[in-house]
Amino acid sequence: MSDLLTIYNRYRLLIFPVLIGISILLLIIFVVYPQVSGLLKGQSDIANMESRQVTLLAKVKDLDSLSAEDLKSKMKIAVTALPIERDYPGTIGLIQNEVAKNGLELESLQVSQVASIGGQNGYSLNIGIFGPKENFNKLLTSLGKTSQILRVTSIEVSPSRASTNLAVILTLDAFYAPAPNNLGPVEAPVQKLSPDDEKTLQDLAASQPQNTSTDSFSSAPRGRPNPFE
Amino acid sequence: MKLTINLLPNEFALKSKEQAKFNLVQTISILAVLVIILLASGVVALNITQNKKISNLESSIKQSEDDIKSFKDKEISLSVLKDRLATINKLSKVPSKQIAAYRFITQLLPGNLFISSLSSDKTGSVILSALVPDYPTLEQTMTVLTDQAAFNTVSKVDVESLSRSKDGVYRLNLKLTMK
Repeated sequence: MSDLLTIYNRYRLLIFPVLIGISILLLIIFVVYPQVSGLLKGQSDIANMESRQVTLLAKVKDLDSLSAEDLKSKMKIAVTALPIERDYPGTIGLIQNEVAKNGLELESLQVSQVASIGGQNGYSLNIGIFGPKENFNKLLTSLGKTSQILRVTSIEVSPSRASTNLAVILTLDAFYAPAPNNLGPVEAPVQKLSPDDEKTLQDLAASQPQNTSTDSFSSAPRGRPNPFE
Repeated sequence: MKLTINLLPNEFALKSKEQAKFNLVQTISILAVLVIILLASGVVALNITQNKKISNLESSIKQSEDDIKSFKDKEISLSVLKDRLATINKLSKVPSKQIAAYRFITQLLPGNLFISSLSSDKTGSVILSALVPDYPTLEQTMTVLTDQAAFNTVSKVDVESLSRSKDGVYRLNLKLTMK
């Protein structure tokens, strides 16, 4: 022990600063460095979290400001125009209604199952109609403004020599679109309706009957008005 | 005048000088340790504050996520609506070639020409069979179909067949390819 003290006293000018230096180094390695790096990482985490919080708060505000009733009525209009599943009764009812409204006779109607029309889910309907030429022209106009999206894809006209009547076979495409499966991440912004979307909704609403009661088979397409209820 | 004489041995003076040097090293070392301890304490305190802030932010984000979940129905409806309207817009913006072809032909051809059949297929091509009562009507038909204005809508006109019966009626079969 006395030997150690003698050595220490002899070299204390060297030993003391070295011991202090080692202590400082250990403090830096085991305390200061981890804490400082944690602090820096924490700063970046806070920045990310603050930005996420701003996005989420904006989303909450946007969602809160939406009227559930308004959304429901818009949804009803959109689902009527483009059902979520094959709506044969609704489409047939709509066609019957349009043909009758334009003073024509529906002679035949055949539905053919088509999985995809130009990348969109849909099915085709062949309809045979008979009636005056002017009324057929009116029907072609009204088919472009129906409550459900229909597209004329072929026309076969056979006029009668004895009268102004036409026998026509029309092929119509009707469309549907299933509901999407996922909504994306929670921080994905709320998809707001653009002025174009609002205009489309107005046009669709104008083409749809105001009172679509459940018993009016021929005037309203069928299908769930809200697929989530 | 005062005269001082150091009678201590030289060895003692060296020892005293060494002690002073050690005292200086000791002071500097202790100060360095204190500074590092102070720095470490400061950083630890900042970390604690930061962790508290992170914890507050996490609970706030959790609250916002819960709020969003409570609006899930609205969000789904809006997403479906937006998606559906995009599809509706896409489908509505494509006009029916067949309707356009039918309208174009029925408006363009002379009134006394009798269309015995007209069919417009999925590609928009039109096959037309007509009975033309006389030569001037036939000439008028061919003129309007080959006029430059007609080629704004039609890209090709094929006369598939043309025959004349004893009664002077022309039978005309045409194929029109629409633009």
